[in-house]
Amino acid sequence: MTIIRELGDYGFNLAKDEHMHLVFLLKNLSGKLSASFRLAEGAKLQIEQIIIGGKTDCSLSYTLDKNAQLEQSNALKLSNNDTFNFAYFADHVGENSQSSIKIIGSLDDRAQKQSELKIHFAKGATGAFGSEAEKITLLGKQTRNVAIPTILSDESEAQGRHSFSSGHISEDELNYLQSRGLPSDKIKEIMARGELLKIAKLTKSPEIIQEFE
Amino acid sequence: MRLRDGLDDKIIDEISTLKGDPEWMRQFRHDCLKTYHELDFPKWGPDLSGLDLEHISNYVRSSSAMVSSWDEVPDDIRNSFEQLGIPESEKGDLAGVGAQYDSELVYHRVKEEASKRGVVYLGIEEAMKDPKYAEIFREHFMKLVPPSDHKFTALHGAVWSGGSFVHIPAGVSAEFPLQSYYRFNAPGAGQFEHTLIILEEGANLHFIEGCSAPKYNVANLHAGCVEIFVGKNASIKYSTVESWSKNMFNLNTKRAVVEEGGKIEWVTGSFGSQVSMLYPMAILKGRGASMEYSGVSLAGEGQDLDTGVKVLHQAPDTRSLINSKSISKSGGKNTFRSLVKVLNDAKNSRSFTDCASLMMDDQSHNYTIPVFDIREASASVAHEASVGKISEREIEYLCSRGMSEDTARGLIVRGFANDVSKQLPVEYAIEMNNYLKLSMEGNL
Amino acid sequence: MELCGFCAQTEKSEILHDISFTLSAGSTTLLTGANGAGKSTILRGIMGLGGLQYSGKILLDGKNISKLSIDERARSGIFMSFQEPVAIEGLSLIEALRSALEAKGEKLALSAVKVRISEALEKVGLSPFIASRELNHKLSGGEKKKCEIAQMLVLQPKLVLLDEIDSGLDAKSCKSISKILSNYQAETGATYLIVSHNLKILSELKVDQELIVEDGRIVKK
Repeated sequence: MTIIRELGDYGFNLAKDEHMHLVFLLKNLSGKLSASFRLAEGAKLQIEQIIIGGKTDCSLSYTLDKNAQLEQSNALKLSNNDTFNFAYFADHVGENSQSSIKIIGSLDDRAQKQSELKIHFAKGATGAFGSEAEKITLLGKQTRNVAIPTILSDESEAQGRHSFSSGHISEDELNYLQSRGLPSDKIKEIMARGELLKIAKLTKSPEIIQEFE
Repeated sequence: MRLRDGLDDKIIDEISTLKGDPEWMRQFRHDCLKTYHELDFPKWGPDLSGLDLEHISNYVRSSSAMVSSWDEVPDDIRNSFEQLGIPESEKGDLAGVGAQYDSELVYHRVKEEASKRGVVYLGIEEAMKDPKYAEIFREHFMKLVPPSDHKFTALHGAVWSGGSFVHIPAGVSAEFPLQSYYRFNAPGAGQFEHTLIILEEGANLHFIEGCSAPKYNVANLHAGCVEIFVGKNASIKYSTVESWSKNMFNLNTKRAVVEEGGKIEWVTGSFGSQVSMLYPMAILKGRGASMEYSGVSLAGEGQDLDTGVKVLHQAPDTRSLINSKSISKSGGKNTFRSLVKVLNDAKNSRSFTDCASLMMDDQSHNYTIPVFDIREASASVAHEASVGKISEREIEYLCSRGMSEDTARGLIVRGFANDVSKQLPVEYAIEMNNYLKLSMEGNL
Repeated sequence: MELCGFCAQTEKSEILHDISFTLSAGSTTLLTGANGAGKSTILRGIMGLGGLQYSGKILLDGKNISKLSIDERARSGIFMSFQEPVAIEGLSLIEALRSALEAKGEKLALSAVKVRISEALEKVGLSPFIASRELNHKLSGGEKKKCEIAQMLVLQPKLVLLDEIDSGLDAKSCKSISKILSNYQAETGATYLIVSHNLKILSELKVDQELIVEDGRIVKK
């Protein structure tokens, strides 16, 4: 596993059947990060993006060949006047390619986040599957959460899913925790913390895990 | 000299004179024309280059848009009427021909029934000129959808013609659905119509726009406008089933503002047109206001349907529920575009969107582009979308009961659209289901 | 029905090898074997369900149906009760059956179909209201299986393939479904091919033949 802590421009090519685990740790940074990835046939990429504070613009794009797999998890903890602008593009060009991106975040005070997630299934990407899931908890009075989760499909044999939620907890979860004496706003905070920690643990980095404990 | 569309002040004056506009409306039209020429085409969405703006002026001015006999209606339109089971007497109306007398008669009957209940239901031009309604008309006309909104609202403001005016006093329920009234004998029938609906406190209405049979028109632009003012605790269901002919550009703008406790339900079936850009919108202005949207859209060969919904949560405890179903086949392109915006004052608001898309074959295209802009921490917003092909498992299961694959597909698609069709009055639901079935079988 | 040298394969391997057996009219045959042996695959192969390449002959009343599509086979008188009945959004049971009957040449009004299916539902111990609801929606596993039998009673097939019809059914329901199957067979002379782990479904039926399936082959008759 490799941790990248600096902003800048990056490009990665994963060879056939190559596996890579990459972590972007962006802590209180200001500026732009852009990275493009090409995944050859059968390549597998696991990527975590950990954003703690700062004012960052981030653009990640992926081209997925046949049987390539991408699994991305973003943990976002913003407060004060932090901002995070994120553009994600997974371009499925190969058959049976798979992508999933999961974004968990909490925004406090006057923090703002904008994410544009795009999955594209090119003609010929039969059996491809792409999913986008975003779950954001707003804790502050002046936060702003903008999301544009897009699926563009030119291939009928591919499947796309996305789910987005902002401040949403299922009735079951809410009732259960309330029955344990927790007030609603505390519940949101606890649940957000728990989910961020789950992503932090994927990095297997003690330093990162500690940030979220 | 730059090629223009021929729409100039002279034509606007002619329209205004023909319609007997009050002076303020004449001036209003001129101002809109100016805005229209200043604004650009939208920089996003479907390709509008096929739009025949050059001939709009001719169309708007002359009565040549109306075919003068049933025989001049293209074969495919006539055949579709047969298949959809449209009765003989109505075929004429829908093709823009036929007994003016019949449609006038129907209109007056509905009008009489409605007024017995205190419901005001008039042709909009009538309302504009009637001393009883002129002021309320002027207070509301194009205030919710200003001409400056985009190029086609400006065009609409300049050349609008016909439509409905509905005013429902406080506490009154219109007991049966009202329908938009097209005066088929008038030039520009139904294409630049303006619908203005005002519901006072506690009022109730179901309004149906258009019809489900294909309408044939010579000029290829529909730039209508619908403005709905929903008063406190009032509620309205606005149903549209449209299948304009396949050369049409359907660029309708619909907007509602909803006061405290009020509710609007949009029910939309979009099947026609070559290109559509339709995004009914609700501004949830008062506490507890709510919007529900159920829409189904089917894009077949040569069609580019860009539809969706917009909602603005401006007050606490507001609710929106969006359910969209899109189907694309034979190379059609279907785009779902939505905006859910929740402002800082919209405490404890809730919004949920469910968007499902079916691609029937390997030539179709389906795009889902929802936008969320959430600025309130206590708001709860959730959205789910899926894009994919019709389930083989479902087809097999139905075939194993003995029906052909085509029949199975037709039933599955109808079932997929069921959420929407069940919201419509029965005769529209039947026509819509019929339309879906025939489309699936490649007969439309 | 007769299967002659029937095989099924995926792109990579052969799942069924040279399956041959005969079902005489009006008889009941039981397919047994460990999980994954290929029992359900045989039933799915007779129905022509997708996902596999099939070869060999399937003769129904002497006629080779192996080239027919799923719906053609169904219209030839075959009915399969699915191991996992499929739920279809927005489509009512009545509407599905009406279309199925219409495909067979029986054009009935919705109300007539409703009567038929309601009677069948009541027979299997389900509420007749299920007829108007979405197909297989919000039904428990056992209810879905009962619904399959109700469909069978409406469609009146001559060859019935039962794929674990008993899974999800309690003992009492097993017995009553068994009785219904027995009565149906007595009335119509239908032929049954049954895959079952829970032999309670056979309580009211007489098994004429048992075929043991192992690794995609018939090992014992």
